[in-house]
Amino acid sequence: MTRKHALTILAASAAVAVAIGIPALGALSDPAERGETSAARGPDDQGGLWRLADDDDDDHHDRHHRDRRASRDRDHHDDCDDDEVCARPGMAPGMAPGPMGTGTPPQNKLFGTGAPPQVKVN
Amino acid sequence: MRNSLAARPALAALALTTALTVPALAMAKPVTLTTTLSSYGGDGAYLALYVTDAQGAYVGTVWMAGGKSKYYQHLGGWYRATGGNPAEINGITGASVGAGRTLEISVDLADTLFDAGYTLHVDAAVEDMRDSPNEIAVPLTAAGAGKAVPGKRYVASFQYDM
Repeated sequence: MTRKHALTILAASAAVAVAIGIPALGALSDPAERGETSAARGPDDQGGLWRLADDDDDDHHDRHHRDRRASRDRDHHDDCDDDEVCARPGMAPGMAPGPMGTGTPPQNKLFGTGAPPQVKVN
Repeated sequence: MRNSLAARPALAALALTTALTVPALAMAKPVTLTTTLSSYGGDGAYLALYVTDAQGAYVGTVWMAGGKSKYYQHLGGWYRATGGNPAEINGITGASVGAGRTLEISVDLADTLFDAGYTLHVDAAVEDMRDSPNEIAVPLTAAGAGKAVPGKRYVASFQYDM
């Protein structure tokens, strides 16, 4: 009797895992859902669309309200939504660029005098 | 007498540093890069202006318009060349450029870049629109200065003046 009971619980938990897992795998198979871009797919693919990286949950307000809030909080830190170039996880110390704007340009063969570029938008 | 002897190394060092610095200054020329966007009806465009050599190898970035690093992967040519390394654009990054606007960059570029097989590229990307790597690719030549070239998707015209 106990063994039968255990088997029933095992079967039920397996059914629940399959029910949750199959849709999740289906979502992963869609490149757009994974946020892949033309650059990630191949060098000559110019058909990529720029999609926001942090709007995953916006269409499911009721179902994932709590998850969305957590995601937004996380994205705020991860993606640095201010108009700045952001440091990334794993970036070596000193690799993170300074705030947006002109300064001493990188030392490469381009900048003859090392003077920062002057930029304006009309 | 002793003072003049002591000053000699300093003067020699000054002469040496001057000799090294002056040619470097003389080998750069002021260049203005003008990029005018078309009225494509979208948000501000991210633009990466960078240079490759005669073999197509990445040399360096001149300017990055657009400050959110998470979108740099959409600038396909630049991103493949640099891996998105932020050190490549440290100090040369500005805001994205709106549709119909003109981005004007004045910079001292090395003389050696001209008439030596180097190419200036512009990659462009706009939110919810198609990416456009290599929107512009123009050889850097003295003869090409002042001549406007059209882009493929977002850039109405691009030219460099010396």
